[in-house]
Amino acid sequence: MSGDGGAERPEAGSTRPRRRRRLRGRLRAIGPERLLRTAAVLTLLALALMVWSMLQPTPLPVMLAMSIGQGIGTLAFALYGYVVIADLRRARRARREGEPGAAP
Amino acid sequence: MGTSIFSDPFLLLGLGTASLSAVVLLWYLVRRPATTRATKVALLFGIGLLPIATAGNGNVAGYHATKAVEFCGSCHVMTPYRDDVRDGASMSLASRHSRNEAFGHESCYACHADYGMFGTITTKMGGMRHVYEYVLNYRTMPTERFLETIEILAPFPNATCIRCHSTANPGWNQVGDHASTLAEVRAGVLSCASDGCHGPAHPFSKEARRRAGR
Repeated sequence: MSGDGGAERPEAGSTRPRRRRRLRGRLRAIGPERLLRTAAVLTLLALALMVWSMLQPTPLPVMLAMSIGQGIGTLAFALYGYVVIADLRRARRARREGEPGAAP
Repeated sequence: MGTSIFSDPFLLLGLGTASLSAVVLLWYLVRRPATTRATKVALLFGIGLLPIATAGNGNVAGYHATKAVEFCGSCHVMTPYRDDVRDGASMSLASRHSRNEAFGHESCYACHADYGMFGTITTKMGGMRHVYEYVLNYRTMPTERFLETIEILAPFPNATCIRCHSTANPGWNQVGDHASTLAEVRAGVLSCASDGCHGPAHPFSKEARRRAGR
C-alpha cells in the first residue's frame, strides 16, 4: 500500500499495524451507537439463518446456518466486543488523566 | 422433516435461546436506550451469550438431523434410494436393514458412517464432498442418468458389517461360505456386499443392474 506519493516505502512488518489503525479509525468514525445497532441487526440475521436450519433441516439451510450464519454472528459479537473494549479503554484513559500528578 | 420440535431438547433449547435473544435485540433496536452499563450487559446476552447457545444447540440439532434418512433423501438424486429404503416390500439389503429397529430412521448414516475415534468428523467431511459434487455436477442431472453414472466412492468396507455381524460369532461361522472365506472377509478382500455373497445393498447398484440385464 504505497499511496503516499513521495513517502518512504513501509517496512514489511509495518503494514499490518497501519491497516489496523485505519480500521480502528473507520470504526471510531462510525460511532459506538451505530456499531451496536449494526451488531444487533447482524445478530438477528444470523439467528434467522440458524432458526431456519433448525425448523427445516435440509442441506441448504443447515450449511448456510453453520457457515454464513455463524460467521455473521461472530462478526456481530466482534463489533460488540470492539465497542465494549474501546469504551473501557476510554474510561481508563479518562481516569488516568484525572489522577493528580498525571501528565497533561 | 419428521423431527418434532418437542422431540429434540437441543432444538427446543436452540429455539428458546434464539427467541430470548431476538426479544433483547428488538428491544434495543426499537427503544434505542442510552449505551449504559446495563444496556451493554443486556446486549452481552442478546449479541453474545444467547446466540452462542443458539449456535451450539443448533449445531447439535443439525448434526442429529443430518443423520436422518430424510436428510439424505432431500437431494433429488437420492430419492430412489430413500424410496427403496422406505418400501416395506423391498428385499434389498438396504431396505431389510432399514426395517431393523436398531437402524431406525438413520439407516443411511448407520451403514455409510466411518467408525473409529474420528469417524464422525471423517463422515461429515465426506458428506461435504457429496454436497460439493452434487452442487457442481449432479444438481441438474435427471435421476435416471444419475443412477447410471453414480458409483460408490470407495468399496463398502466389511468393517461396517462386522460391527454388528461379528465374525467371531459361532452362528456366523456355521455358515459354510462364511467359514471358508473368514480370512478374506476379515481382511476386506472379499466384500460382504459383493455379487454372489449378500449382493449389492441397493437395487440401483451397477452390479445389481448388470445382474438384472439392465
